[in-house]
Amino acid sequence: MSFHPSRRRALGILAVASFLAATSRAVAAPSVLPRPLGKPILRVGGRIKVVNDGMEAVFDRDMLEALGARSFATATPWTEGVPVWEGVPLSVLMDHLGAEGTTIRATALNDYVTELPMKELASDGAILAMRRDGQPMPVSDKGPLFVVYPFDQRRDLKRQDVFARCAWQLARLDVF
Amino acid sequence: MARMRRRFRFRSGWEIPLVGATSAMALAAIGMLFAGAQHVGRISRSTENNVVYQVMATAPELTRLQATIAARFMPHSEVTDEDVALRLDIVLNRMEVLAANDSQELSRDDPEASFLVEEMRSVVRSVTPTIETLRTETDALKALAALEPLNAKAARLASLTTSIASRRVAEGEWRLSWIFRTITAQVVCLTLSGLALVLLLRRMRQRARHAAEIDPLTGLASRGSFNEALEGAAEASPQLGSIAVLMLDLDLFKHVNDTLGHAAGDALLRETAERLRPVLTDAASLARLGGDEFAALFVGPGAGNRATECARHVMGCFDRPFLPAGVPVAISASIGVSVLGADDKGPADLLKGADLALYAAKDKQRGTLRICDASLKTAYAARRALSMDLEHAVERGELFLAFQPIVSLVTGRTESFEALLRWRHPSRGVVWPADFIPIAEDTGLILPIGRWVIREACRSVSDWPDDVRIAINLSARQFSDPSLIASIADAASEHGIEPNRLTLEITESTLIGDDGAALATLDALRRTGIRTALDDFGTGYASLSYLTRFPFDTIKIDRSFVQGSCESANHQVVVRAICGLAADLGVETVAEGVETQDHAELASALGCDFGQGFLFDRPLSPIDCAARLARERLGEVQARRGARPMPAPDDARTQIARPAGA
Repeated sequence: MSFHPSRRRALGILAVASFLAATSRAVAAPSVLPRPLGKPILRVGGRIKVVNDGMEAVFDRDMLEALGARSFATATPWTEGVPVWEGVPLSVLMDHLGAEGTTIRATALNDYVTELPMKELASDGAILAMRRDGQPMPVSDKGPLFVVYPFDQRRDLKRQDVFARCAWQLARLDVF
Repeated sequence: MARMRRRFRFRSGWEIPLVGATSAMALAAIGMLFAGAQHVGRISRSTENNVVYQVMATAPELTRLQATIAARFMPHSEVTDEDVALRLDIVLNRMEVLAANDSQELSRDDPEASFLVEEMRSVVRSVTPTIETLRTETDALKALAALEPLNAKAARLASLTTSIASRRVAEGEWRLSWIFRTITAQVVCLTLSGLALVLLLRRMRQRARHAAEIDPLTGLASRGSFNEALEGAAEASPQLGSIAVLMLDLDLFKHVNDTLGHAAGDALLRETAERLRPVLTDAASLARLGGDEFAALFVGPGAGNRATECARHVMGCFDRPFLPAGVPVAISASIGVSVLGADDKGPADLLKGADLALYAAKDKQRGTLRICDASLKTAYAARRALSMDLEHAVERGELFLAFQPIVSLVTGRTESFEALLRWRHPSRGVVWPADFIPIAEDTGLILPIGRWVIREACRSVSDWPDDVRIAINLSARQFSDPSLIASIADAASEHGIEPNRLTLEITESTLIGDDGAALATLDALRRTGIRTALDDFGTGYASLSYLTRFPFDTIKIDRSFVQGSCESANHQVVVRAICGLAADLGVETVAEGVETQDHAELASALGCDFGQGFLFDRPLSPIDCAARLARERLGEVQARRGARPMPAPDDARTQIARPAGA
C-alpha cells in the first residue's frame, strides 16, 4: 500500500498540529477571552492563563472598563493639582488573566520600560488609570493608560523606585 | 568635718554640670539622628532621577518624530498618518511633562532650563497644525525645518539637567556627611562624658569605702575593716597561735565624758590613738571598735607573744596623764589578749575571747592585762548555759525559798524569817544564789524572778502567825523597777497579809547613784507600810550619811563585824557605836552570822536587838519553819503554865553580863 505524497504531508502536518496542541495544553490551559471589538490599547503577555490572541491577551477600552474601575485622588510629581484617577486595579486585571509570576514588565508607547513587583500589588492599590478627573486621557497627555499609585493615601509609597513604576502611555504588560 | 564638707561641695559642684552636659549632648545626638533620618527620607522621596530621565527622553522622542515625518513620503514607505500622529502625541506629552517638571524642579535651580523648555514648547505648539495635516513632501520639509533647532536645545537641556542633578547630589552628600560628622563628634563627646561620669563614680565609691574603713574620730581602722582584716588573716593563716587579738578599753571613760564633756572625751580618744600608734606598729591592724574600745590584730608566727609584749608597752602609754580639755586626767586601760586556739571556730570566737579576757581583767583589777585561757572560756560557757537554764527556772518551778529565822536576842523569840532564794537545777542539783543571781541581774531575769520571790514570800508568811514577819532581798535592778511597789502591794493583798509584815533588804550599793530616786522609792515603800532594812552594813562604804539620809527600819550588821568582835576590841567598839547610833535614830539592829553562843551574848551586850545565824537555825523549809514556830509557841504556853521555864532568854541575859573574850 502506498500513500500519495501530498496526503502523506497532510497527515504529517496534522500530527505536528495535534502534538503542538497537546503540548500547549500541558504547559497551560488558556481560557478564551473575547476578542476586542474596538481599537486595542493594551496587550498582555507572559505567564497568563486567559488569552485571546495567540498566547497573549489584547484589550480595547470597553473590555478594560468592563473589569471594574476603582478611583482615588492623588497628586503626582508629573501633574498639577490633585486629580481624580480612575481605572482598573492592576491586581484585578492580573487575577482576571490568571497571571502567575513575581514581576510585571510594563512597556510604554515611547518604549519606556519599568518593572512592578507582583507581590503587594493589591495592597499597594496601583491602578491602570484610564480617566483623569472623569475624562479619558489622550496620548498627548499620558494616555491612554497610566499606572498610578495612591501616593496621598499611602505616604510610604512616595519613593523613587515607586515613582519609576508609574509608566504613562502604557501599551504592554508582560508577566514573569 | 570642715574638710569633709568642702570636699562634698567640690564633688557636687562637678556632678550637676557633667550630668547636665551629658544629657544635653544625648538629646542633641538624638536630634541629629532624626535630622539624618529625615534627610535620607527626603532623598528617597525626591523625583530627581525621574526628572533626569524625563529630560533625557526628549531628544530620542523628537528624533523619532522627525524620522517618522521624513519617512512619510518616501517611496514604498509603510509609515502612515496614524504613526506620525502617535509620535507627535508622544512629543506633545513630553512637552507637558517638561513644563510640569520645569515648574516643580528645574526652574528652582537654573532659569536657563525653564527658558529652554518654554522655547521648545512654543516651537512644538506652532508646528503641530502643520504636522497634523501633512499633505505633501513640502509640508514635511517645512515641519522638519521647524523641528531641527529643537535637537540642539534638547541636548542642551539634557546636559543642564544632568549638571543640576549632580550638583544637587553633591549638596545632599555634603549635608549627609556633615550630619554624620556632627553625630560622630557628639558620640565622641558622649563617650568622654560617660567616661568622666564613670571615673567620678569610682572616686565616690573609693571615698565611701575609705569612709567606711576609717574611724573618722581617730583615723584608726574602723570596726568593719578590722573584722575584714581578721577574717582575711583567718583564711590566710589558720594555724594555731598564728593570730592574736589585743582588745583595750579605757577605764572609767564614761566618767571623763560625764564630767568634762563629750569634746574632752573625743580629745582623750584621739590622744589615746596617737599614743597607741607608735607602740603597735607590729600589729596588722589597729582599730577603734567603737566607744572607748580599741583592738589590734597580730598575724604570723609568735602572734600571741608579740601581742602580750605589745600589751605591756601599751600599759606604759597610760603612765603619763592625759590632757583632754587642758585638764590632766589619769587614765588606765584594761587589756584582754586572745590567741587562736584549737577550740576557736573562727574570728568571732577570737574576738569573744579577747572580750572575755578584757572584762575579766576589768572585773579583777582595772588597768591590768589578762590573757584569755581555757578556764575563762569554760566559765563563760558555764555561765551561758546557766543563764539559758535560768530563763525557764520560774515556769518549770525549779526555784524555791528557804527561810532563816531572825531571833530576838532579848526574848529568844523568832521575830521573822529572811527568805533565801534557791534553785533546784534538774542536773546540777541546788545552785546557790551567788552563782546565779549575778547572771539574773546581767540578763534582766532578776525582775521576773524577783516578782516570783515576792509572791512566794507573801504566800509563805500568810501561813504563819500574824506576829511573824518576812524579809526579802532586793537587787538594785528591782529597786529601780517602777512597778516594784505595785507588784508587792498586789502580792500582799492577794494573800491577805499586812504590808508591815514585809521587810525589804537592800545593800548600800543599791543606793549609789541617784539619791533622789532612791529616797523617793524608800519613802513610797514606807508609806505603804512596808519595812526596809539596810543589808550587810559595814562591808561597803559603810557610809554613816546613808543612815541619816535614808529612812530605814532596820540595820543588818555584817557577819564580819559580829564574828570579829570576839577577837578584836576594835570591832566591838564599832559594833557598839553602830548600835548606839541606831538606837538613837530609832532603828532596830540585826547581828548577822551569829554562829556560837559567844557571838549571841556579845552581840546582845553590844546593843544588838536581833540575831541571825547557824546558832538559831540554818535556812529552813516551810515545814521546818512551821515546826519551829509551833515548838516556840508550845514552850511559851508551858512557861505561862509554870512548867519547865524556857532557858534561852534569861540565860542569854545572864551570860551577856560576862565580858567578851574573857
